[in-house]
Formats: sequence, C-alpha cells, structure tokens
Amino acid sequence: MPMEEKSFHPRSEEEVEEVVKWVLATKTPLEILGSGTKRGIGHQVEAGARLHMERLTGIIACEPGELVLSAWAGTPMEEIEAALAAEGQHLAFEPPDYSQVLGSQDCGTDGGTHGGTFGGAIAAGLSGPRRLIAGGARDHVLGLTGVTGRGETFKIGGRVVKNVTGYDLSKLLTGSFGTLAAMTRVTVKVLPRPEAIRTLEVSGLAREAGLDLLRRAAASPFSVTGAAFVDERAAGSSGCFLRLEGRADEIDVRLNTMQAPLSVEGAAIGSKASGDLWQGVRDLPAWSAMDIIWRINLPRARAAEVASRVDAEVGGDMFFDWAGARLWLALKGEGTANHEAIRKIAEAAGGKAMLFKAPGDLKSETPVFHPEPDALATLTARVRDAFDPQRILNPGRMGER
Amino acid sequence: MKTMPLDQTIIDRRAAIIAAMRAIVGEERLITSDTAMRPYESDALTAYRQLPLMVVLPDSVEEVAKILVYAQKENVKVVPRGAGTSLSGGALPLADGILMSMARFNEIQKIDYDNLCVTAGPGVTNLSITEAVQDRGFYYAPDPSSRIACTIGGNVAENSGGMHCLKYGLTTNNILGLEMVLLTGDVITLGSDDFTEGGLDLMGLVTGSEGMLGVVTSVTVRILPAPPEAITMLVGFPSVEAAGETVAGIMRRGLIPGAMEMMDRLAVKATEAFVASGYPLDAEAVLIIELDGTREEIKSATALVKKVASGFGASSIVVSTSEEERLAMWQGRMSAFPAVGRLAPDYYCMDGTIPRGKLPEVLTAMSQMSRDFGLEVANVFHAGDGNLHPLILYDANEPGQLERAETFGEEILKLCVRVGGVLTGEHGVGIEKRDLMSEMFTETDLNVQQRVKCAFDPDGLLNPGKVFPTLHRCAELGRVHIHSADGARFPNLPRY
Repeated sequence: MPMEEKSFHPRSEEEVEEVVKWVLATKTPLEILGSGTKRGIGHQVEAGARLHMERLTGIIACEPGELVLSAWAGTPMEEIEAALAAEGQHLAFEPPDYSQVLGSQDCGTDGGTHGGTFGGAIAAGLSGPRRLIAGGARDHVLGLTGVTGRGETFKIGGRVVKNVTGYDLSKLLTGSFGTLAAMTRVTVKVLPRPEAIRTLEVSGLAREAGLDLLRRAAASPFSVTGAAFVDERAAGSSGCFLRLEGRADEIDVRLNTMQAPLSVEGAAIGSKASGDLWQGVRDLPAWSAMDIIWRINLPRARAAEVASRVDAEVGGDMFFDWAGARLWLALKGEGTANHEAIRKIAEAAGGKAMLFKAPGDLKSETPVFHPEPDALATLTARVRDAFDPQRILNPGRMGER
Repeated sequence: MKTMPLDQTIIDRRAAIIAAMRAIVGEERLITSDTAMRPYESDALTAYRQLPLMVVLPDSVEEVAKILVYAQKENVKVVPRGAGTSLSGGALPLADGILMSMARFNEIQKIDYDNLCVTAGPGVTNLSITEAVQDRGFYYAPDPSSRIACTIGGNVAENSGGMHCLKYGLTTNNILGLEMVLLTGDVITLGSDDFTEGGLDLMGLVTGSEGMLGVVTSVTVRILPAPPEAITMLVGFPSVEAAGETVAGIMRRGLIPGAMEMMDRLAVKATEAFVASGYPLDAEAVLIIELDGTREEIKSATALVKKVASGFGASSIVVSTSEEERLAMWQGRMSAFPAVGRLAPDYYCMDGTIPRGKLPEVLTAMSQMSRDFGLEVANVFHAGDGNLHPLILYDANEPGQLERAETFGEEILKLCVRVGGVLTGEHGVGIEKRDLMSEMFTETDLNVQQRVKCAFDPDGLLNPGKVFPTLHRCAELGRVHIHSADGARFPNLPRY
C-alpha cells in the first residue's frame, strides 16, 4: 500500500522532536527540507513524510562584536546575509546558491526563498572560492542544536569562536545532508566583509600555464582569496582570475606589486564587477543548461594531469577553482557511460569525484558521492548508527548504507 | 576527581600482556620498570600522576595495528601519548592500561610545495614542521605555547590553538589529511593532500577527540606563505573595559589582526620584573597586537588600530620599528606563564572562553573570587577570540591550597559557562574538566557524544575515563527508545 504522504511544518524545536518520534514510531522515512534549493544534490529520498523547516525561522543573535551569529535552521539565507551586511560582515565561506545551475524548484510553501535556508547551507556543507584561504563551511560552524534520528533534542559546540569542549560534532553534522539529525539552530563564526575587492584577470594562457599561475599565486604572500581558471572551450577564451580583498587604501598597491614576482601582467577588475564575477565562480549559473556536472576534488598540482586525461577519455567543459584543487566538469547530452572512467581518473590522482548534477537514471547507476574503501564505509555506517540507527532521516540521500 | 575503576584481572595478567607486547615491539621498545616508567606518569597537568601498566613505543603502522588488535581481543585499555604537554591530563596513564608512546613516529614523510602540504608522523614536534619549510618562506600556522615540545599528533588529539588562531584557525582548520588505525586494526585515510568535500567529515570529528577514537599514525597539514612583514603594537589602557572595547572595535572596523593578546596589571608586573619588555606598568590592561601582510596592508592596519585605541582612551601606544623590537615585545607575552610562576611556588593555568563583551564582568567576578579564596590570580587572555587563561597562584606545600586553587578554577569555568562561554578553548577536557561537562551539556548531549565514541570503540578501551563524567556501556546507549506510537499523539503539528 502506498504510504500517504504527510507534511509537517513545526514551529518549535519541541515539535520537530515530536515529528521525529512520530516517524520512528510509525516507521515512516522522513525527508527534511529547507526551501528545497539543494534537493537536486545527492540521491532522491524515498520518504513517506516531509519535514519543512521554513517556520523555524529568524535570527536568534547577531553579535557583530563577538563575530558570531545564531539563527533558526529555516531562516532564509537572504535574511542572514542582509543582517550581516548591515553590520559590514559576511559568511566568509561564501555559501553558494546553486538554484540556477540545478534548476531548483522552490518547494517552500511560504513563498520563494531563492538562496535556500541557513540550515540547508550548513547541512549541505558547501563552500565557495574563498575556501582557498578562509576555510569551508565546516570551519565556520561553532555549534548547533538538532534532533537525532533517535528523536532526542541535543546540542553540541558553543557560541564562541574558540572551543574544544567535547567532540567536534559540528563538523560531522555539517555536510551530512540531514542524514544524522534534523538541525534546528546553528551558530556560525562571521567575519568582516572586505572593504575593497580587486581581480587580476590574465587571459590567453594555455591550461597548464594557467593552472601553474593559480598555484603560484596561492603560494604567494599576497593573500589571494580566489584563484580560478576557465578553459577556452568552456568560455570561448581562457581566463585566469586571481582575487584580492582588503582595505581601499592598500589593495591597488598589492595588486600591482604581486604581478612582477608572479611574472604576469593582467587587467584589474574593480570591486563591483569582481563581486559579480566571483558570484559566477561560486554559483556556476553559466552551466544551467548542462545535463551532467561532476565536482572533482584533487591535490591542486595534479589538476593539469587530470584535465588531460579527462580530455582524452571523457571530454566535456572544465573549470577550476581553489587553485586547481576543485575541478568542475560539465557534460551535455546523454553521456552516462563514463562515470567509471571519471572516478578512476580522480582516484589515480588522489582525488574524489562527486556527481553534482545528473538526471535520476544516472544517479541510480552510480553513487553520487565518491565510494569509500570498505573499512571507512563500515566505520561511517557505525557513526550513522550512533545518530540514526533506523536510517529514518533523509534515507539514502548520501547513498549511505 | 572520580578515578576509573581498576580492573584487577588486567593487573593479574600483566606478565602475559608484557610477553604479548614484547612479541610485537621487541624488548627495547617496551618499558616495564617503575623507575623507567616514571617520566610517563603525568603530562603537564602534574597534579595528577599514575604509573601505567607498561609503556610501549611502536615504530610502524603495523605495530600499532597489532597492539590495538591485541587490546581489543584481550580487553586491555590503551592510552596514546605524544610529548605529554597536555594541560588537561589528556595523556594521564591508567594503572591497568598500556601507555602507547608515539615518539618513534618522528619523521617528516613528505614536504610538498606544489600542493602546499607537509605529511608528518604524529611524533614530529609542531615547531619542526615550520622549521622544515621556513627557508622557502612557508610556515605551519597553529602555534601553541608548547610548540617546541608538543607533537603534531598531540595537536590533532587536542585541537590545539595558539596566539595566531584568531586569523589562521586552530589545528582542525589547518589539517588536510589523517591516517588512523582503528581498534579493529584497520588503517583508514581521512581527507587528502588538499581540501576534501563529500562523505561524513570524520577528519573533523577525530581532530580534538582526545585520543579516544583511534590512533593517528600520519598527519598532513596545510602550510601557508609567511607574511612578508609583521609589526607588533603595545597598547596600554587605564581600564580593562577600554582594552576590551578596543579589541571589539578593531574587528568591527573590518580588521582581523594576526594576533591580539591582553594581559592584566598583575601579569604585566610579573612579566616586566622577569624580562623587561617595556610593557607599561601603570596600565590596567595591555594589548599586544600583531599586524602582518604587505607593507601597505600593515600601514593601513596600524593607522586603524591607533585610531580605535585612541578613541577608547589608550594611555600609551608603541609600535615596533625593527624585527628585534617586535620579538622583544613578544618575549614579554611568551614569558608570561613562567614570569607569573615566579610570584608563587605553584600556579594553576585555566582555559575558559567567554564572549568578549563579558570580559569586564568576568574579571570583576574573578577579583571577588580571588579575595574569597585568598589566592591571587593573574590574567593572560587571547583577547581576539575570548580565550581566557587565568593563572591561579598557590603553594602546594601549604595544606589545603591545592584544593582551594582547584575549587577556584572550577568556579571560574562555571562562570565562563554562565556568561555564555565554554569550559575549554584550547587545552581540552581531559581528566581536568571531565566532571564539569554537565555544566555545559545535558545527559542527552553527552549520550550523543558517547555514542560516537562507541562507534569507534565499542568496549571503551581507548583513553577511557577522559572527557565524559559518566561512563555508559555502549549496549545501553545504543538502544532506541520509542514511545507509544500513534499519530493521534501529535495533535498540534500543522499538516498539509
């Protein structure tokens, strides 16, 4: 008998706990949703009930002098970002907005929350270009509360930037896609928003030279906060982009002095245009029409070698972020037969390949997340047992066992 | 402090366990006599001492795996140890447990300038990583004050911090990969040589887990390009409040300095008497601020700090004009603990973190406590991130003073939690703060953490007795409690 699909819209942490207790008691798999903008990432969840977090909303504490912000999981990212911007601050890990590239349908019932929710951003653990220097989402979560798959409300971490009290479960929960617990409140570290941005654009470099420049720039003492390279095929002409952020009275000098030691001459892009450019690097809107997108994480010095093998064995358009440590590969059309080749190429270079965007039939053929070796997979399953032994929360989202 | 119940059957089987260890590591890397084990009886929290059952020094991943497999099979506890510089008793031995020293894993395995990483054995000291790469203009950022002696494996276990972690992060933010041996003998690799995404972040979980989940046998850290230049500023204030406001004001105006330290009057007085770094003796609080980057970045930042500090009534501002001056200014801060140590036969170093805005309130309360307990307290403070190091002065030879110092310390940590802070910012819970965990966490919170321990160590064999005030059996924690099961119990949930 097909299960009747239920939707829950809790207004408090207690109600979230009640929902989890109910699904445990009735053995109903539960899908947890913010506004659904990242629903396309990971495997599809076969659920009998949905937990919508959008009514668990609002900033609990924005303390600019303490560099922390606490908010309910369902708070729209727009609200978080606006509150921080008003204080001259931001989330330094640059949480991406993939709604356009994924073609996400907003499934919130309270109207559009285009940029997703705060809880969704943390649950997906996604990070933008600035991870190169400022860390990823994992590095900015200070503490949270949530309800485990055992129906217990718990808290971990704290609300200060430096804390080693107890295990660092905040990192474990960040990027767990709601498969361990339904997060209800999250506290993150926030940082000052830079006063000025400059981008040095160096065009016309061949891929190998471009990737080499990214690495040299990231290893230079000029505090490069973004290092991306776009292939000729992906953009019409190749481009190497290096971002500097800082204060208005020093940034242009830094932009000029860094060019000689890097042996390049490039064009300077100002704050406003840089903002748009790096938002494009972060969100990949240019690839909305692509059917299949892979995200390959690899040691940056192997990027050129991996790209050559991809050219030879798979094809597709490529784009490099994090000084080459993150390679985006886009394929158009049916090409579903190459997932094994892509995973092998990544592995041979000490990397991992994630199927970031794909039609459902490809996802049923190959796991979205890079498969783990047996011993690690066994351990991971045991850690899951600790939180959600019945696999009742977002079951299968990460292809977990 | 409650001690772990002693397992007499293990003591009775000591000879057999020694024979098994000898078969794995040989005679030379096994220590069994009381005299030879004496150096291992405590870590830097010397108030607690305990001789272990024996000390083994494996020197390969295979040996570590064999020892752990044996431990699991024979139900013998194991306490991993780095250099023993923990200030929270994280490496305190157990009378019925093997102490596994990782000292032999003291080689740097790989320096990779292309990927900006270094792979080192857990027994490599923190400072020697920087020393290995500084010729090429790189360094490893986390710099705990024990960095000459403490090991990178111990840093991973404790998630160590240091003076520069406001800008550059703690250990956990600077680790790229770990190799770890599980109690099953399986060797797993977490992370990689660069940023990793996807899958559960077990590397983040293991970092800071105080040696309770597995034994780390290799650590890959990120190295950073050294800033081209750095200067230090010494700023004196007529009140602690003004110094605190300046710290917040600097960050509110968009600047995160490389380091931002605060010392109170007593700490400054003790330090000046010891090393004479030129700290203003008439100030109630002194900020030591490091600014790093290109010359223009530093120029811009210096102007901003001066403006903010003057605005809050700074009584003196001195900027270093040479590398010698800069280092001399730091000498004071780096000598603060031994300098304060000269004021009394013993001192007890605390490690709470508070929201910075609560600093005046906490310091006022601490002065009152100081009077109540009849013990002096000096304060050294990682001001940028709110991490407080009160140093309680006492004399262990005076009856009752150690107990009074410990109670005073406990009261300070409880106060930190009450004002919205935490029990430990960088020293770890260990044995020292274990029984205070319930000040911060409910029983459910602690059960969630203990179940994670069970996932790695179902028999409670790895460094047991640390972190958790109550030990539960894993089977008991693993049960799922489901209460009465019908939809009618949830009448208030809005449904669509």
